[in-house]
Amino acid sequence: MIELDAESLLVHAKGTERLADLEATLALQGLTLDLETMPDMTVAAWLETGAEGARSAWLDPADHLVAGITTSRFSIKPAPRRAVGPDLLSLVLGARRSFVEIESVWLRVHRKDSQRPTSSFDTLAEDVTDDERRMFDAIKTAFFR
Amino acid sequence: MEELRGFVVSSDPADLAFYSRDLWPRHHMAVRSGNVATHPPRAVVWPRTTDEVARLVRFAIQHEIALVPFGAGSGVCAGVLPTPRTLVVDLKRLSAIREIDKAKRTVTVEAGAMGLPFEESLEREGLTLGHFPSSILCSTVGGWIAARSAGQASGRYGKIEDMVVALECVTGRGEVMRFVHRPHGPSLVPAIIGSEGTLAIVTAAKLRLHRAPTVRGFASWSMPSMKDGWEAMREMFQSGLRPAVLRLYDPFDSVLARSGKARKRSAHAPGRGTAALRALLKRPQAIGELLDSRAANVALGGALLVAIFDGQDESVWDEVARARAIAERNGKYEGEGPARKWLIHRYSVSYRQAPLFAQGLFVDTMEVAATWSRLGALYDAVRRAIGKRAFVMAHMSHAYPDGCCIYFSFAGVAAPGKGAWDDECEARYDAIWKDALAAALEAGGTIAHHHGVGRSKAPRLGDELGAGGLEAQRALKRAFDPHGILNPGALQP
Repeated sequence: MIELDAESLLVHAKGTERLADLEATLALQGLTLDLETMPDMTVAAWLETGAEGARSAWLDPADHLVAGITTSRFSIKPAPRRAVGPDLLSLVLGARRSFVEIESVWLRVHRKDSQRPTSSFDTLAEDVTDDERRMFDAIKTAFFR
Repeated sequence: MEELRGFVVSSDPADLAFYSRDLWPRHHMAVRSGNVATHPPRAVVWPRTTDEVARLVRFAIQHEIALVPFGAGSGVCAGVLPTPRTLVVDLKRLSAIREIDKAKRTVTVEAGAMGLPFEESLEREGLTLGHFPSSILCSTVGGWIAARSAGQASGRYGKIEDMVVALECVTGRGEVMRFVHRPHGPSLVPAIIGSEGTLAIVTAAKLRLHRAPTVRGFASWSMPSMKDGWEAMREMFQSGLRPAVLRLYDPFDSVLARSGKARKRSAHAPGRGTAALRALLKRPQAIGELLDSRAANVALGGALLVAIFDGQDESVWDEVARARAIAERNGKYEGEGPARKWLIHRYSVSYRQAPLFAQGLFVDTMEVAATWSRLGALYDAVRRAIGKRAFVMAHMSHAYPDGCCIYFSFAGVAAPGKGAWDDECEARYDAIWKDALAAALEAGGTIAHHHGVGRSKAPRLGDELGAGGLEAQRALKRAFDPHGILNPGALQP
């Protein structure tokens, strides 16, 4: 853990830190990542492969998983929301290091005693489509030209 | 242009004048000084199908003409600024609700659907999108997506990016593509949302729906200070409460909120108080200092916090009780009245800037966001920066567990000088924005929360994203729009 912003309930963690270690450090402060499962991987690998075990974002629209990030190519400062053009997290989350490597990340943490809202929604995820595959390839070409 | 035969198209001067701008306040000042349409497009086209949009894009590629997607024109950041080599693509004829899936609670709607009629269609089915921007009377679904819009009930339903399940769009390559939102990736939907028409023209969206609320709880409190107010907001969100609406007004803004705000007035004739108002606004710092005084705070009734909880059953009242327990540690309960009044007048503001411009003033709003730990510094810094040259007030209207948006409203007049009144107004307006954006960045805030960047904030985009972030945005542009035909100039520092 690099830094804890307890007021904002955000933790700044290195990409190389293991999720379980981060969770143990947070537990000392009465905080948790509140994952449904705890994958045995680093924070970076976890986000790059789709954040297994994180609650679906559809369950609580006002909340989110990642507030800021530093990657090998760009940084996004921590903020609850922004409207400053395309969300560059689309080049990071679940993108399997196609574009960037995660150096550090600002993650949402939760008080162990807090209630987490749940708003039901059928979150059947569709597989990646051919359109999406083609566009990801085009972005890769543009990104590394 | 012959090749556009079969399209609904116009080059009528009245249409070209209308489509030469959006609601950026600097445009209003230009109009006031007689420059009604300094950026007319070549023509306006109203496509009726996604296929027509794709044909238009291919036409534009072939003829090296730019396209500017247009919803209802309510953007406030100069997202629309055509040239004689631009076609404005008004999507309002592409506005059908294609499907409402009541079982899965989704709707597929075309981009040109106007906000309020669309929401009313859902409510007739017992459903809601939960997106109520104050511009709902003059904005479209496509515009919401393009600008990364926020509605007044974002506390429960999120911003527009939290509602999009999938997008159909036409890229700058002329290809119709469908992208699916997977919140933890991989997904290109977050790249399209907020791209302000620079990557693709959104033609339809599949959106997540909720059951329309059948129970609604109201509460409001006067708070001794803004800090007391936002601390209560923070605690509510961090303890798991999700009020649909939670808004904190500073003492002066509270007076307007309590009174129900903007009454209908004529937009054409400056009122009798014009001279007095102009004189008053020549000394914005003095007004600010006066209103910041303890006596003024007491006289104005302190800050006002209003909350509305949506739900389906009596549990709403438990949520109100929990909110009251938090807010009344430092605040005084004011009953349901101010919250109910706010709901009645919630769309009153956006439409009614015209009388102030007619009186020779300028008014504008600035929405920034920060984590809770930086919120106080952001509030102070931006208020100070704007307050040097204009009267400024603020409210906080979109809260999250990790931070909040601050919405500044300001009004000013020309600085004393030798230039023409409107020129001096423009100079002062530009100086305010320059200082305010610098202050927001310096304090660790974002330069925009839900209005977008357009051209007005683009000069500071590099400070927000850094060189690497700008290059990543350029790479997306090269991939989606290799010919550079989609809204060129927007989002470009």
